This record gives sequence, structure tokens and C-alpha cells, in this order.
Amino acid sequence: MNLLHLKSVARKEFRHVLRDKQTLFVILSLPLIMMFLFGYALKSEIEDARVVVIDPHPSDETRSLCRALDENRQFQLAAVETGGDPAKLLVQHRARALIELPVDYARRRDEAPLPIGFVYDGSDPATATTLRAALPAFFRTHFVGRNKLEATELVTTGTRFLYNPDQKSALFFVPGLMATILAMIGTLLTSVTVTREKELGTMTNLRLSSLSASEVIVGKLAPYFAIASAVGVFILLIGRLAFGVIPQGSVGLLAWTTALYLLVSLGIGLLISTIVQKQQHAMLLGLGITMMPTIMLSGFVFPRMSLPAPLYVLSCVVPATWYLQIVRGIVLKAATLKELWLPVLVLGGQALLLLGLASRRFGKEH
Amino acid sequence: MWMRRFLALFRKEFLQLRRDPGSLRLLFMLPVMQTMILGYAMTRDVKHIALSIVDLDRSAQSAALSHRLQTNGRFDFKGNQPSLEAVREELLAGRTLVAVAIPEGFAASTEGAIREQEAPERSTNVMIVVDGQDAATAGTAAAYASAIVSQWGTETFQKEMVGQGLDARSLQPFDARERMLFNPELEYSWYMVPGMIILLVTMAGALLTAFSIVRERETGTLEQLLVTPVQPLQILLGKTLPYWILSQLVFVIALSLPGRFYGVPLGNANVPGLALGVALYCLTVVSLGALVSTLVSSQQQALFLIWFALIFFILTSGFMLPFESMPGWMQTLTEGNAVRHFLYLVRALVLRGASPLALVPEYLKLAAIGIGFFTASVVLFRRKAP
Amino acid sequence: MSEFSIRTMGLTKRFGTFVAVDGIDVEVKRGEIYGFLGANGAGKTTAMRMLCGLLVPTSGEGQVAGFDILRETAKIRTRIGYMSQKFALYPDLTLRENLKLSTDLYAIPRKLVAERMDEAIVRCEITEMLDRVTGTLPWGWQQRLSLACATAHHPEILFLDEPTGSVDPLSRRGFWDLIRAEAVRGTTIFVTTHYMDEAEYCHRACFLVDGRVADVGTPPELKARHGVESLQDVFLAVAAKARRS
Repeated sequence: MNLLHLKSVARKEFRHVLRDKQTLFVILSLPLIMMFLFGYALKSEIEDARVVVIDPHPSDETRSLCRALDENRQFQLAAVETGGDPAKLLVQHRARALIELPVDYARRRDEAPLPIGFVYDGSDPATATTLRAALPAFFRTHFVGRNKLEATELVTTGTRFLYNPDQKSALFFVPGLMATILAMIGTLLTSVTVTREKELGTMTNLRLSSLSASEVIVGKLAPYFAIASAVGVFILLIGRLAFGVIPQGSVGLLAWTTALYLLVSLGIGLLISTIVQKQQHAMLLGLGITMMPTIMLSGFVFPRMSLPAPLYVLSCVVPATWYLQIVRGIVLKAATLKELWLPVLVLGGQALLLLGLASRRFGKEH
Repeated sequence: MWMRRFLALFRKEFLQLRRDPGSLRLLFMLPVMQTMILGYAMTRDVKHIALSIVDLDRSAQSAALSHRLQTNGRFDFKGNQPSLEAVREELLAGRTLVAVAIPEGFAASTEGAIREQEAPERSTNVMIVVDGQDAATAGTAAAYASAIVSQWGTETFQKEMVGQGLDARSLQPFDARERMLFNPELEYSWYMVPGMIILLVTMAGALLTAFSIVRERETGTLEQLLVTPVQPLQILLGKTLPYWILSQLVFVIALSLPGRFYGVPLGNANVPGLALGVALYCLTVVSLGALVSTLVSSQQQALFLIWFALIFFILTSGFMLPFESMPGWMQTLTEGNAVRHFLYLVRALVLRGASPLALVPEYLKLAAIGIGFFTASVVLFRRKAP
Repeated sequence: MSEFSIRTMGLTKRFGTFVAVDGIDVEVKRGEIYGFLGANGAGKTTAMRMLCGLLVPTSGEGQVAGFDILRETAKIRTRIGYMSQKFALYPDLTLRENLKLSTDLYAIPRKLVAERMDEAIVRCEITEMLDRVTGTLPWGWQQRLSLACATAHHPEILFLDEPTGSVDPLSRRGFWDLIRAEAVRGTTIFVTTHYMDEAEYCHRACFLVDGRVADVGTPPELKARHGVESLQDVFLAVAAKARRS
């Protein structure tokens, strides 16, 4: 391969990409926005869940109960009704749960057991599951202190979270963000721009030139590799500066495994461009077979361990799954190649396979 | 004459679509297949939790507790470990997610506490150690383990109290009567599948609309149109209307096929209400595509701008993470987020069997957003071309 | 006023600090073939686009087909036809479909549509490939289709921007036969080109250099004025002082 040829192709491609300032702006602001959202606005814990109370016989005791409920960080008192159909009330007040207090709450408060109704809106299973545990727990603490020995005091539990002691969500989403954004640049951007040349007919010039197929491929992919790497560094920097995410392990290992992942993404992008003729198709295909699985199956947002068997198998094909293991391992657990040999091997194999296949098809096309 | 010119453009768009089977195939298959396949992936439910146990007490009590944990359906029991160091190895290697350590003297302490009717002086604290990489999953897994242990503790307590002649029930502060409405089995797919369909139809609809307009700008056919008596409004309508129709169609198909597959209770839904919601939402989708097309000059730019907007809209819509958990100011900001309103609408209609009358605010907001986007795109389109 | 199809006074277009068209005064008589000549970048296309209503002038005035180009662009559009440099019709539609679309966009009375279409088809010599998808046909066919679409509604003025492109001289001449046939029917033709030999076909030619009118006249007049044999030489003489390429 002639280095000069490479440089000329790469330089032309670079200039072409840099000219599109708007897309570059989007590529840089997307990670920023996502980090901002994940860091400050999105939480998976339930807070301020709307609760409706049916209190057929309001009294000082019930009012203090309602006040305590509202003051609790997890709940928000949406309304206090004296009666009605729970289902209708849940829909009407857009509440997630409804508490039915007995008529003679004040009188029976010190008798036991007091029948209290808990009605949950199951349409959001996550919130319902959490409230199903949280509401009774709230009531248990509200009534505490009546026996010498509480049932709850017999066996207690203490929880320790390893690798993420402050339970910082940033440590969780930054790796996933890297995987998603790098896939986006490596696959989507590449496949759309290469297909664009095909669509507009500017690719045919290459056929007439003296460049070899591999020179063209490497030259074309190089700028995207560079940009994606730069964005990757950018994400890690922001992660560190804004969220204090500092890799526990080797940054060098992180660097070249990221490069490996990029090669896989570029391979997919190039492969897509050899399959379709129009930019539109490249985009739809890229979204369907890359972005969606990357977000859904890799373990970024949804836990992989909950996947039913066939989907779990599918998730093993998704490159982001393995990359995520590597990044999380290095950043959170200071893992080394010894622990990460399998993900690295898989990514390496995928890179070889995809780039090889794509190059062959590309060469045949031109 | 206005109608004639508009219809000519409208017909042309369909004609072109007919000659582009690839796009049609992708437009219809993408939402349907993706939802079909990935529907089960979208769950916040934590299952198959890898569990290791360190039993340092080795008593009947600790064995009973251990057994309770092992046989719980949520956990995949990976084995007993001889020591805390051993279990740490397992955690580091990723072979286990949760480790439960039962301390030495556990049985003696529990028995003693009940006998003396006093809180155990030696801690019967069961230690739960979790791989905390994924904060949400770790938290949930730890909560499950903790709940099982507490439950066992309470039952043991009650058994003992009854054994000693005390009425355990009288010491229980309240009797919880629980009812789970609208989704009694707590099927995550019911909750997520509508959202997934919305996500995919939105992406495809907005992108195709934008691409269609930008392509004409790129190839010069738009200029040719502008030199004829045709008005910008006719051009935009001729572009958005076909995709408005198509995206509604895709939505219906996507809802019927994967929806039925996952058992989503579509029968609950008020059909006219749902149809109106779909129509209004698809208006916002194609209008977004039209608006973006006035802000970019290449299909590639359109792709990334729409992707950018959609990521923001989808993450803040309550699709994947609970809406109420967002800070107040963020919630207010999303009043302009059509995905949020439509998601709420669909979930209310389908899962809660709500009446459309209760959802009038959502309908109005969707209409406002759709008309707003469309108006903006007409204004900007006119400005770009005299 | 009715003697002139196109008139401009001080028409100017500025892009930031760059002055693409610098105060040109142009008069095009009815029915004549008026050539707008100049090197690439001289401002020809910009001027034409202002006349068609595709670009808003920075200053100056103009009338096309008797209507003001600043305020009455809608009326102008019904009376003109336009052919751009690049092929600007739909490659995924057939020739017939493209032409039919044009008749709808110009709202040719329904009774006349079939007749006009047939006439345009014959006139522009595109009969054989009518139902072939446009994108699959060679450049020549696409050009003739563009002409058909631009003339089916019998416009007063036909704007042609570098219509012959880079095709061979034989095809160029063939196309000019079609253009001249248009002029014979009374259509005013405003054509830009950088092929100076094509300017010989024009009734009058205008040379644009650095956005300004360098010279105007009939081909004989121009040649005599500069004492040269061909319009190519006129151009060289006139462009000698050009600052833009």
C-alpha cells in the first residue's frame, strides 16, 4: 500500500467531513446532552410517586398520616378523597397507587391489625414493583415502636456495593454512552457518507484512478476513525471533569480496545454501504441492525441477565455488549487483559471478519 | 387549480415510493421486526441474578435461610463459597452479582433474641455484597435479597411467637390488602412494547419525510418546482401528507402484530380515541421531519439532527426511565415533547382503558406541537426560497 | 414596454462582501434569442436566477414578461419556462410521468393537456422512450425532456442555463435546432453559455465580466467592434481585464 496514495484519499475525505460543521456539532453535543440528561435529569429510582388516599372519616390522625406520606421523598400526595372507585381515581388523578384507610382509623389505630388497602397501577411495572415494597415499608415505620421486639429487628441486612460505592449512575452510563456514540459515528456516519458517493455518482472516479481498493478503503475510513477517537476522548474527559469518573485500570488498554471496537463499527458501516444503493436505505438499515441492538441488548439500559435465552444469544453477537464489558471492567474494576481476554478476542474476530468481508465486497463493486 | 397542483405533487410522491421498494420494506419491517425481537429485551425486571452464599454459621437456621435464597426464582444460585475472600474473587471475575454472607453465631443470636424478647445484642446482620457496576440493577438485586432475608426473619419471628403462645398477628401493626390493577402480572412487555413502536415509527417517519425533502434540494428538483407556479405550502403538504398516511399505517400494523404477540391488551383501548391520537402524533412526526429539512442541506445532516432531537425527546419521555423521577423543571420542559404526551396517551388507553375524554390535554398538546412544527417549517421553507 | 420581454435596471446581487452581479442593465426584445455569455463565475447563473424569481436581488429593479421581479414573482412563474444546468427532473419517474407532472404544475387546461403533451413530445423528439424511467436514459434524452417540460405550457420566455452541458458538438447543434424552433414560434429565449461558438446562434449577445456587462450587441456588431473574426475572440478581448477566473 502506497502511503502517499493513502494520505491523499484520507485528506480529501477529511476535508469533506470537516466541511459539514453542522453534523460535527451534533456529534459533539450529543454526548454532552446525553451525559447531562443521565447525570442530572434521569434517575431510575422512584421519587415523588403520586399517591391518592381514600379517607372515609378524616381525623387528626389520618391527616398527620397524609402529611407524613407527602413529606416522604418517595411519595407525593396527589389527592385525598372520601370515597370512590380506585380504578377511576387512579386514572383521574394520574396516580400510581391508592391507599384505602379504614373508616375507624383513629379509633382502631392502636388495635391490631389495621386493615389498609393498597391498590397499585400495574401499567408501569417498574414503579408498581417499587411502590409495592415502598408503601408498606413506609407504613411499617409509621407504626413502629409498639413492641419490645419488632419482627423487623430480628434479622437485619446491610448492603455493600462494590466498584461503585457511591452508586454513581455516571459510572454506569458513561461506558454505555461511549459504545453508543462510537457505534453511531463508526457505522451510521460512515455508511451514509460512503453510500452518498455511490448515490451521487462521485465514486466512479475511483474506478478510473490508479488507487488500489485497500488504499481507498483505509483512506476513506481513517477520518472517521480519527473523529470517533476524538469524540471518545472527549466523552471520557467530560466524564472525568463533570462526574468524576476516573478509570481504575489502564488507560492504554482502554485506548486500544476502543480502537478495536471502532474497527468493528467501521466494518459494519462499510459493509452496509456495499449492500445498499441509497443513503436512505443505509440509514434505516444502520439504525435497525446497529443502533437499536446496541442500545437495547448490550446491557446499556436494560440488564442483560433478564433476557430470555434466544435474546441473550443475540446479545452475544452485538459488538457493544463485549465492548461494554471491557470498558466497565477497566473503569470500575481495574480489570486487565487477563480478565478481559474473551471480550477482546470476540471483538478482534468480529473486526477481522467484518472488515474483510466489507473490503472484499467494496473491491468487487469498484 | 390549487388542489390540482397539490394533488399532482401528492401523487408523484406515492409514485416515487412505489418505485423504491427498499424504503417501503424497511419502513414497514423495521418497527415490526425490531419490536417483535426486542420486546422481551426491554425490561427493568431483574432476573437470573447470579448469587453466591457464604455461610459462616453452618447451623440449621442459616441453612434454612440459605435454602430460601437459593430456591428463589429470581436468583441463579452459583454455589457456596468458603470465605469472604473467595466470594470477592467471584465478584471480581464477574461470575456472581450478589453475595450473601451469613455471620457466625447467627442461629444462637436469633434464638436468644426471641427468648429474651430483646433485640439481639450480637448482630444477626446478614451482609449483602453486590457488584455495583450497574447501579439500578445492583440496587434492585440487593433489594430482592434484602427482602427475602427480612421476610424469612419475620416468618421465623412469627413462628417462634406462636410457638410460645403469643398471637403473632396481634403484634403486626397492619394488615395489607393488596390489589394490582391494569396489569396484574406486571408484564414489562405490555409497558414497553407501545413505547418501542412509537420510537421506531417516529424515527422512520421523521427521517423519511426529511430525507425526501432534502433529497429534492440536493438534486435540484426542488428548485425546478419553485420556478413553477407551485407554492411552498403545496410542496410541503405534498411531502408530509404521504408520510403522514404511511406512518399511521405502519403504526397500526406494528401495534396489531407484535402487540398481539406480546399479549398487550389492545381490546381495552377506545379505538376512535387511539386513532385520533395516532393521527395527531404522526402529524408531529412528519412535521418534525419537514422542520429539520429546512435547517439542513444534506441528507446526512438531516439524519444526525433528527437523531439528536429524537434521543432527547425519547429519553425525557418516560419511555425507559420513569417520568416522575425527573426534576420538576425537566418535567415542565417536556411539555413540548410529543413523545411524552403520546406515550402517556397510548399507555392510558391501552393499559388502563381510560376514556379519551380524560386525555383531552394530551390531544390538545399533540395538536399544538404538530401545528407548531408544521407552521415553523412552512415559514422557514418560504424564507429559504423566495 | 411590450417591446421588451425582459428589462433590468441596476440589478445587483451581493453575497456578504462578494458582489456576484454588479448593477446590470439588460434589455431583451420579444422573440429574440438573447445570449448571456461569460466565463464560469462571471455571474450569469446568478443573474438568471434573479430573473426567474429564485433569488432575491440585493438592489436594482427588473421586469420579466411585464411583471416586477421583486413583487410579482408568482405571475412571472406562470409565463416562463426554466431549464437548469443540472438535470432537475425526477429520475425515478418515466418521461411521460415527468411531462404530465409539468402540465399539472402549470395547470394547463385539462382539455388541452393531451394535445399539448403530444405536441411537446413530437417537438422535442422524445417519442420513442416515453415510458422509460428517466434516470436510465442518456443525457441527451434528459435534456430534451427538460425542454419539453419547460415549454409544454407555451411560456413567453424560456430561460436556459447552460443547456447543452458538456455533450459533443453534434448533439449541441441538434439541441440548438430545437431552441431556434422555439424562437421561431415567438418565445423569447434567454440563454447562458460559456461556449462562445453557440453565441453565433443568438440574435444578440451580452458579455458578462466580473458581474458587469462588458459589451452587448448582435454577433456581427460585436465582431466588428473588436475587429475580430469570432465571438471567441470578442470574449478574449473583453475578458482580458477580468479579475475573476
